[in-house]
Amino acid sequence: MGQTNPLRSARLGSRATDQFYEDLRQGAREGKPVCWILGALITTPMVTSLGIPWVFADALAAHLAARHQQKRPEEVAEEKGYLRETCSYTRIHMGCTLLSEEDRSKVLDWQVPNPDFVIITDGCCSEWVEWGDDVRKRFKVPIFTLHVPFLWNDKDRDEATNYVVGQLKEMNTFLEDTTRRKQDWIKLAEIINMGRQAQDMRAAGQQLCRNIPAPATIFDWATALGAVFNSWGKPQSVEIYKSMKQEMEERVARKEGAVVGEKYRLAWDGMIVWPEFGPLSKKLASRGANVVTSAYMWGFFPTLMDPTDPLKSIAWNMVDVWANRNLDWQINHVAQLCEDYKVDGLICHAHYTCRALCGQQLELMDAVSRRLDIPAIFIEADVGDESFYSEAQVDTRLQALLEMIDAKRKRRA
Amino acid sequence: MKAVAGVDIGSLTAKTVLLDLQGQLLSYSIVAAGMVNRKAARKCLTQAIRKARLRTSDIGSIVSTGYGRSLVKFGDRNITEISCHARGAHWLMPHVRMVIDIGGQDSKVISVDSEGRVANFAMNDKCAAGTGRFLEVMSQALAVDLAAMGTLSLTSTNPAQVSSLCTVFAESEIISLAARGCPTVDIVAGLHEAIGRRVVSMVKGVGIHPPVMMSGGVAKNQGVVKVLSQLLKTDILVPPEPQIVGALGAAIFALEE
Repeated sequence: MGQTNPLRSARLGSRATDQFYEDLRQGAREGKPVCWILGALITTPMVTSLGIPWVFADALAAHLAARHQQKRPEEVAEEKGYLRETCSYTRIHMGCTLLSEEDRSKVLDWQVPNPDFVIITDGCCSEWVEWGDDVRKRFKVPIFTLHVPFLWNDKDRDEATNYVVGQLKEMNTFLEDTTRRKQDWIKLAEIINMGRQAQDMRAAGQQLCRNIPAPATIFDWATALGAVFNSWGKPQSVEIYKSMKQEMEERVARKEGAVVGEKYRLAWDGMIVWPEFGPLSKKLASRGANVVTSAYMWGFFPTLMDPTDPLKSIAWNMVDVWANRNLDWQINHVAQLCEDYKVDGLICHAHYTCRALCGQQLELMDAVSRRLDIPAIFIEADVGDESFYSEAQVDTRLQALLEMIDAKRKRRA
Repeated sequence: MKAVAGVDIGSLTAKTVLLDLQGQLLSYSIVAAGMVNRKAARKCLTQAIRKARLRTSDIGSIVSTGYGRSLVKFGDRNITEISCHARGAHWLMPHVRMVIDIGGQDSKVISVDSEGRVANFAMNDKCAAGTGRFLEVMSQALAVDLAAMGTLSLTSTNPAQVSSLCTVFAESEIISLAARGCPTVDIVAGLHEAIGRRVVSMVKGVGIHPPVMMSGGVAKNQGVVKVLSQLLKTDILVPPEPQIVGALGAAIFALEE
C-alpha cells in the first residue's frame, strides 16, 4: 500500500554525525582534553565555546544501536555485572569502555578518545549519576554534576532557572580549572545565537508537518538528530534544518508526503527503537501510517534561546524540557501536539530499560486517548537492547491500532 | 459461493470457522499446529470444509488472523486477533463488553463496544508468562494432565504462593514447593492465582467493563476462570468452544467483505 519517501536533506544529519566524530578524534590527536557528557546535552555550548571536544554518551549509544553495533558492548557490560534491566544506553556505553581489542572490531564506530573529565546531570533521570560515577571510577577523572530541579509548577520556573544558572557558573569554574582555558563568552553568545537560528528553522519545519500529507515523518527528524546531538550551535545545525524546511516546502507545494499513500497520521510518545529504526519506519509506511509528531523527537532545546543571556538560555532549556515536567503538563503537551498535527492515533513506546520515561506512560496514554477520542497503544521494546523487541508482538499491536482507527472512521461515517 | 472462512493461526493451534452467507455457523476445526505453519492452516481449512460437506470452490472470502495470519497465502485479507476476538465475542454474546483471551503464547484484554469493535486493548509482553505454554510446562513439571489442571485446582483449600510467572523461575519454584511437601492441588491452584493476578493487572490497565467473556484455550481451564471471576468480582462467561472465537471473528469479517 504505502511506502517511505524519506527526506534527502535529513541525511545531512548523518553526515554531520560522522564529521562530528572525526573532529572529536582529531581534537584528541591534537592533545586537547576530551569531555564526556551524560544527559547534560544542553550544556555542550559551554564546552564548545572553550574549544574542547566532547562526546554526548547517550547519543553515541543510540548511534551504535542504530548501526547494530550494540550487541557486543551489551554482552560485555552484562559480563561485568550490569543487569540486563539497567539502561541500555549505559550498558552500551560502559560496555564499549570495557571492550577487548578483539571485540573492538565488532564495534567499528567506537573510536572515541577517553575522557579527561565528565559532566552529568540528574535532571529527568537518576541513571546518569550512577553511570557518571562508573565513568569517573573507570577513568579516574573529575566529574561535575548539575542538579536540575523537577518543574512541578510553572510559577517555580524563574527560581529553578536561577538555581541552574548558579550551577552553570560553578560548572564554568570547573571547566576553566580543569582545562586551564578561559571561557570565551563572545563565542558562547555566537553559539547560542546559532542555536536560536536552528530553533527557528526547526520550528518552521515542524509547522509544515501539519499539512496533509505530512512532508516528513519522525524518522526523518530522527535521521537529522545529528543537528541536535552533535551540531547544536554550529552552522551545520542551521543548514540541516534550513535544507529540511526547504525540501518540505517543495513537497507541500506538490502535495507530496513522506509516506506515499498517507492514510493514518500518528503521534509517537517516548524514544526511538534505534535497532529497529529502518524496519519500523517501513512497516508503518507499508500500511500508510505516517508518524507526524513526537514530544521526544522535538523536545530537545525546547525554549527559544537568547544570545544576550547564554547561561539563562541553557538553564531554560534544562528546566523546560518535557521530561522535567509533571504529568499534567505532559498530557496537555502531547494532546496539543496530537490536535495540532491532526493525529488519528498514538503509539507509546514503553522502554524496557528506561523507567524514567515509562513510569506515567499508561496514565498519559489513557488521558490523551480519552480527551481526544483517539485510539492508543503500547509498543514494548527498548532504545538499545533489541532482545526486548518482538516483531510479531509489535506487528499485532500496530495493525490493531490501525484497525481501531478504521473502526472509528466507519462509526463516524 | 456458499460460505466464508475465518482461519486463526495461533502459536500452538490452528482454528477454522465456516459461516454460511446468512452468518450461521456451518462447521469449525481445531488442529494442533505445534508451531505456526502454513500446512496446519491448510489442513484446518480442509477439515472444516469436509465437516460442512462443502468443496473448496464453495468458499468465498477467507480472512486470516492470529500470529501466523500473514502466512495464510490463500486468505483474502488478514486482521489482528484483537479485532477478531472482539467481533467473535460480540457475535456469540452481543452484551459482552470485555474479552480476556489467553492463548498459547500470549494473553490479551480487549474492551469491546456495542458494535463488537475494539475500544481498547492490552497485551502481555513478548514473554509467554502466564499463557497456555506456561501451563503446559508446569503440567509436565508436576506430571499432571494439562486438561485436568483446572478441575484439580478447584479442590484446593490452601493455594500455594507462586510469585513468579517466568516459566523458568516458576518451574524451579514449584519444584521447591513440591520438595517441601506442598500438595500438587495447592501448587496448581497457586499457579492459576498467579496467572489471574497478571491478567487482572492488564484488565485494570484497560479498565474493567463487564460482562466479561473469556476466550482462547486457557478458558477451558476452570481453575483459571474461577480465579479470574473472584479477582475481578464478576462472572466470567465462557462460550462452548472458546478456542474458535478469533476464527469466528475472522469469518464474520470475511462475510462483511
